[in-house]
Formats: sequence, C-alpha cells, structure tokens
Amino acid sequence: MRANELLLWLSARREGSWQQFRAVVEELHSSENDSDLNGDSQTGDNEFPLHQQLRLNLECAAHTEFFEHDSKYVWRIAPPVLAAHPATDGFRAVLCGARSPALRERVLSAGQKCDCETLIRWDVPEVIRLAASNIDALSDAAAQAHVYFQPDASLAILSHIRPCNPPTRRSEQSVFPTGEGWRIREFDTGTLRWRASDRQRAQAVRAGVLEFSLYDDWRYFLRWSGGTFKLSRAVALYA
Amino acid sequence: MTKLIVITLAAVATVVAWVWFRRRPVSAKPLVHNHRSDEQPPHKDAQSGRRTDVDLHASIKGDGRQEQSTQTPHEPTTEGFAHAPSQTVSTASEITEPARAPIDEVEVASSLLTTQPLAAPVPAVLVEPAISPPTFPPLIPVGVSLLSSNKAVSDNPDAVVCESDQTKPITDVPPVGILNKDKIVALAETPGGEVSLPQTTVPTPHIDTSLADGIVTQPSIVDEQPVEIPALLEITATSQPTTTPSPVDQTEPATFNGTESPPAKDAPLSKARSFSEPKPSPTKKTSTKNERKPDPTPKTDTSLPIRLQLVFGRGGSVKMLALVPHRREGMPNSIEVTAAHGCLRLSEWSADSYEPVPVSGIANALSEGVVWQTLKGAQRWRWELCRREIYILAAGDEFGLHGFVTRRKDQRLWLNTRHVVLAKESLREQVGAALAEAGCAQSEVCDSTTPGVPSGWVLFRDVVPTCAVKMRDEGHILNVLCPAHEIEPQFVGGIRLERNIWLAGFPPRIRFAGELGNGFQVLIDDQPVQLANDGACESPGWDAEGEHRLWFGDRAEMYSLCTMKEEWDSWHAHHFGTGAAICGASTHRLDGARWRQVRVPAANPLLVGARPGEIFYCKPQHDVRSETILAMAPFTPVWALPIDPVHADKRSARLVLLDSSEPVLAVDHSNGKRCVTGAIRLWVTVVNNAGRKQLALSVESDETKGLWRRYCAVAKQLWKKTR
Repeated sequence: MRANELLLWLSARREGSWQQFRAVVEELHSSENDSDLNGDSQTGDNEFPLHQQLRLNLECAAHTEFFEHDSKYVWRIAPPVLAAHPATDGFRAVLCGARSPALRERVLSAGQKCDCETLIRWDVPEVIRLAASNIDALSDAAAQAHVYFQPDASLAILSHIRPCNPPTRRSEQSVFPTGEGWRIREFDTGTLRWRASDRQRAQAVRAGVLEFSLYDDWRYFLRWSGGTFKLSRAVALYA
Repeated sequence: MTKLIVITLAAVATVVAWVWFRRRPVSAKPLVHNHRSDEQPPHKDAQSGRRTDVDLHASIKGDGRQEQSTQTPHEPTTEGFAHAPSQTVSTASEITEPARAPIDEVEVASSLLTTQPLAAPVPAVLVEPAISPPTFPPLIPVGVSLLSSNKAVSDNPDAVVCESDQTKPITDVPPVGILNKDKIVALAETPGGEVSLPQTTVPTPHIDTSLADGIVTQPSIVDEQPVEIPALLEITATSQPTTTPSPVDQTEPATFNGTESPPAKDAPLSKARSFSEPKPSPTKKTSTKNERKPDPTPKTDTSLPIRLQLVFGRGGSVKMLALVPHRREGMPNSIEVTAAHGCLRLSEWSADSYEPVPVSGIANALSEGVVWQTLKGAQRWRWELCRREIYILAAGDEFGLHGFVTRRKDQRLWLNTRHVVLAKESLREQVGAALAEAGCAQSEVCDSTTPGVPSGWVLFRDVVPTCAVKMRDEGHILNVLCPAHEIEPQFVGGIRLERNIWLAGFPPRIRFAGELGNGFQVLIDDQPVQLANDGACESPGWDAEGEHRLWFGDRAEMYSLCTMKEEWDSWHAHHFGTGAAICGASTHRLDGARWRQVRVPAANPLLVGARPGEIFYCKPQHDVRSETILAMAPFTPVWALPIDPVHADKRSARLVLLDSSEPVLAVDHSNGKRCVTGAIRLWVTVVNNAGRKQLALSVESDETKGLWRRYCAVAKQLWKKTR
C-alpha cells in the first residue's frame, strides 16, 4: 500500500515536477514492503503504467492537480477539503486534497459523530468517507477537523467548467477502422464499464463511445446523432 | 744638416706613424674588459642555459656588443664610432642614440623581470640567484625569454603569438629584433643611403620599452602585425618564482647553453611558424603555490555509466530489462542521443538518472555493450554499458529505483545484501559454485525459457552472500562474485523528503551491508542500537522528530525526521470564464470574494436576498442535466423564485425558502449608482409580483408564511416610496 505514502509525500512537498512524481512513485514502489519481495510490479489492470495509474487516481480523488506550467509538466497538491454530495440516505463527504497524519486523525475523530468509514485500495490513497442524514453534521465535522467544507462538490465543479458542446453536422466525421481482428467495446454509462460489442452493433449505436483495439493500436469514437467522430484516448476515457 | 736630417726623420716617422695609425687593422675590443666577449660564457649556469638576475641585466646592457662580437667580428666597435667621419658619426649617433636611451628602460624592464617572477611555463633562459659575475650571453635568448614566457600569452585566447612549445629548441625562435624587420630597416638606413645592420642596439630597446609599459607589442609571426599582449609581466609575476629552476632546464639543459651560436646576421630568417592553437605545456609541474587555477570551464567530454534495471513480473517472469542512463546535475532535462541503431530521447527521471529505456534485443546489448552519445555545443556526453559476462544487480530500493539495478561503481556482490545475478549460460556452473562459496543459499536459477530472460543468459535470484571470499587473480571474471566486505549503511524505505530528511512517522530502515564483525558497534544519538526483526538498527528515540546521528566504526552520518506543515493554499487550478475557479474538490471565486453556494430547483433560478437590491439570476448550464441548479451568489439568498412570477404556472410554481433571514427595510445608497436603484426596483417588482400572484410556498408553515408576508410588506413599502 504505497498510495498513502505517496499522498503524504505529495502533501509534504506541496508541488513539484512530473519527473519528481515519477521518481517518487518508483522509489516508494521499490520498497521491499511491497507484496512481492522480488520486485514484482502490480499495476492493476495494466491499462496504464503505475505512475500514470496513480496520477489518474490522485486526480480523480481531487488530491493533486497535474498541469502544464511554463512548458513544464508539474503537479501541485490541492488544499484539504471535505467534499460533500447528496446521497440516497442523506449526505456523504469525502476527504480530498492534501493530508497529513495529524489531519487524518482529526478527521477520523470528527467523523465519529457521523458514520465514518475508510476504504482501502492498493493504488488509491485511503478513502475517508463521512455520511450523515443532515449536511450540517458534515459541515460541523469539517469545522472540527479544521478542513474546508465543500457542499455539492461534484455539481459545483460541473457548474464551473466550460460547457461541452457536442459535435455538429459541420464537425469532421470519421469511420470505423476496417479489417479483421479489431476488438470492439462500447462504454456502458449505466455500469460505467466497457462491454464487448461488434461492428454491426457499433454502427447502430445512436449515442455512445466505442473502442477499437488491435494489438497496440487503440482508437476511440463517439457516436452522436448517427455520426461517427474520432476521439482522443484521454477524452474518451476520462471526459 | 744633422738637425735637418733629424727633422726629416722625425717627419718621416711622424708620417709613417700617422699612416700606420690610419691604416692599421681594426681589432675588436670589448666594451667591458673583464670578459672576453668572443668566448663562451665561463659560468656553468650560462653553459647550461641559465642566467642570474645580474646576468640578465648585464646581457641586456651589453647584448649588442656581444652579438656583434660573436657574429660580426669585423665590424667597428663603438669606440670606432668616435673616430669615424662626421657623416658616419652622425649615422652612428642616429643608431646609437636610440640604443642608449632605452638602455635605461631596458634596465627598468630587466629589473621588472628579475624582481618579479616570470611566467609559467618557465622561459628557457632563466634564472638563479646571482652569485657569479655577470656574463654576456647573446641578445637572442633575452628576446626568447621574453617571448617564450608565453604561457601567459597563450592563456589569452585573443592573443596570436608564436608557439609556446618549450620542447622546441630556442634557437628555432628567431630573435625579436629580426622578426620586426620593418623597424630594423627604418633605423638602419643611413642618410647616405647606406644600409647597415645595427645589431648592436636596435631590437632590444624596442621591445623592452613596451615591456616597461606593461604591454608587450609582439610581432605576429604570420602576418608580422603587432599583437598586443596586455600586462604580460603582471601575469607572469604571479606565475613562477624566479628561484624556481625551470623544468625545461632540468629536462632539456641543452636547449640553449651558449655553445650554439645565434643565427648569423646574414642567415636567412627563420621560417615563420604558422599559428597554432595554444597547447598545454608538456612540462612537469613543479610548483602548486601561486600558480594559475585550472580552467573552470566544464569538461567537453564526459563519460557516464548506464545502469541495468530488471523488474520481475508475476509468476517469476522478467517483466522488464531496461537501461538507466546516468544523469549529472546541470545536464538537460531532455536530450536526444545517438545509439547504434538510431536516435532516442532521454527524459529526466530523477536527479541522477534519465528515464529507463527498455531495449529490444537485450541479449545483444548485454553481450556487446551499449554506447550512446550526444553532442550539445562544445559538450559531448557518452553513456556506456560495458559488456560483461556477469551482471550483479542489487535491490533498487537502495537507489530509489524499482526492481534490481546494477550499481554505478562497485559491481561486486555485497555481503548480506539481496542481489540478482545475470550471467552467460556458459558460466552457469562456475557462477553457481562461486555463489555457493560466498555463502549464498540455494538460489533459484532461471534460464532463457523463463519469460523475459535474455537468450543465452541465466538468472540467479535471491542471491544473498553471507561470507567474504578472497578475490581471485586480477581480472578474473568471477571476482565480481567475491563479496565486498566494506561496511556501508543503507537507508531503505520511509518517506524521504530530501536527501537525508524523512517524514516523521515514516523513518527509513537502517541496515548495514558488508562484513560486520562481532565487535562492530553502531550508535544512534550516542546510544547503542538493537537489531529489529527485519535486521534494521533501532535505538530509543531513533525515529523521533529531529536530527539524528548514526555512528559506526569511525564514521558518522546524519539523518533527520521532520513533521509536515499544514500550509496548503488554494490556487486557480482551472477556470473557464465563469468567474470561479476549481482547485481539487473545491470551487472559489476568482476575485477572492466569498460568494455563497446555493442549490435551487431549476424552476426557481431567481434568488432574492434579505436586503432590497439583492437579486441574482442563476443561469442554468445546458449541458448539465440536473433538476437543480448550483450557483454562487454574492449574498445570502433567502428566497428562490420562478424566473417570471407573473406568468408562472400557479399550479406548479413554488416559492422556495432558502434562509430564514428577516427583510431589511433600510436601503443602502452608499454607492448611489443607478444599477443599485435598478436592482432595488427589480427586487421590489419581483417580490410584489410573486405576492400578487399568490404563489404557493414549497414548505407551508406559519413561520414561512409569516416571513413571506413581511417580505411582501417591505416590497410594497418601497414601491410606494419609489413612486
């Protein structure tokens, strides 16, 4: 479990270069406390290299921002936030951003008044989650832990990003790759996972994202209003 | 008669004497009579090419005569000038005058030369404490000595000078005066059109005058244009003590010993040597004090190592074999290098390495070695993985790398340290035996049938040598399997923030590699350590915050543990023109104002505050599908109203209470702007319209109804005032 230590390192250093990030991922992962003493690298589903996987997880959990600055790719830790959002049985808040051992203890202590849980995954920093029927309870817990409280975090972020304009008729269309051997998958918005598909079904999709892969060649397409538009891999996976 | 005869004889004798006197042959007479100028200098130093201060001084004074006596013995002496015809005398004075006056300057210059050290490399003709009587070596060495002290000259890259090669015989260097031919001719022209070579006087003063000014005007050999060499004497003054014997003298005493005659005056001029780049002198260094510091400019050719990195995959396979080029401080973050089969770009990985480069055909790379190189400006870098038949890879955690890597320096096994050994298939038996000799437990051997193991190679895993083995013969291939016994501390793991600073609570494990004897003592903060279960050293308080001192043998190393400061500022990580920025999971206004975030039903985008004029329209985002709108308002909203209460559907439209603040009747006219008045009118209008429409409240309660009635009352009151 090195993601926690990575987050602590990032929190202590606050900001740095992409190379530093990669190096510390390597250094932390090289420690013999990993599961395999022979240096067996565990990279999840191997979709990405370990450092990329960790970077995406850190971004998704709003711990760290990776961006380009002065033609250099850098990272910077985000301030700690208890990000709340409505849930089926009330409200839920997740501790995001920087973290120190002391801060972690404070949040866990404040969370005792709520329903507090921690989720552990090997490539994601420990998820500290508070739940309450009343949002004020979460706000109070944040104040007690000296952490900024962000209500409706996900919707707030969505409300402040540039509107995403779907392709129009004037947008340049593309075609699916031809030939045999392509593995075709369609993204299921219900389960948020890829599911197997075929060329015929892909042509029939009215709106959706499709993946064509052949060996190391990965191509992504957006089906929109009957048209086919090429997508970059990053947009297709994480937009 | 007798008188007549006597007178006649006397007259004849007088005439004869006069005629004899006029017709007698001219004999060379030295100016200074205590030495025979046509002899070789009797002093042994002069014979060996050395001269004393006084020698130098005197030689400059009397050089002209010396040269004359050795080269042109039939030329008249300076005494002869006094008896020469007036025309000749005047010519001679034209010649000698410049010689006499500068002699004083020559003395000054020579005193400078003798009281201040000369340049390194040491001139060929120098210098020892003056004990012996002055001698009169020829002029040439003086000029050469001045010129040959051109190490300082060659240090000036702009100076174009003759070669400073001191291994070259000095006689190869033409005299200064002869080099400056134009000047000589100008001085030697007599009024009568005769041209003589005034070897006695001309060249030396011309040079030394410049020396006295601190600047040497040295003729360029190539184009015979004067080249200024600034402050030669000042440079030379700090370079070489006069009492230091010249290395040249030691190595080449025959370079000039006075036995060789200088070039004759009618000898052809030495061929001008073409300019060549200043070269470092091959002479040995005999002094380090007061000598010039080495050139601080970076090396132009740098050789760097390449490490081999091995990462295991699942099931014991080798997932990756990569090459890790070394990187030094100051090297580019990204650099393109030329390899055997093309170019590749290296990107910075850490402070001391570039990104690992997986190599296809790694078996060949291991067998043949790898060389990458690049040239950037004047700097050339060359990375090399030397070909070996046995590679020793240590656990990478010691170096901050994943898997196992070769060390940069000591390629041997280390005692009590885990390794992987990659060896040629042909050496399998020998390596196995050597490992057993080193006390390694039976290690797992993987051959090329294991995925990832290069063809023709075998891999020994879990190699932990436990006993030292004496090295075999020098150059023996199995010497790398003789474990090094040197004791080295290893700081492994933890959260390292800086080179020797770790985060408190996450200290490194401190272990030692090498041959630890029974008496090996380790102290942390002056307290003896205990070995933990994992073999790491611990002592009371070893992992407490602060600086700690690890002492072992006669060495000490420091490490620190520090706590994290919770100082994290928010910044504008992402902003898209909405007036707000996103940073992590939080949003905030770009201008720093503390706006209130509110979430309202999409049908109630009109926000009304407690103070008249506080009205805000939440513009819904078309691409966000939500039944509610999230917005940031500059005030605390109390009511959320439909966008057009007058035309709202009374059956479905509702008034949503967001806050229980009471209305404020007082109107703030502090800024007196029209927009404020307009906002107040809009606030009044919207509330009045919603009241007239009698829209239902989302939460029907007495408090809510009472609050809404009070808002309507305030709006009516204001409406009457503004009529």
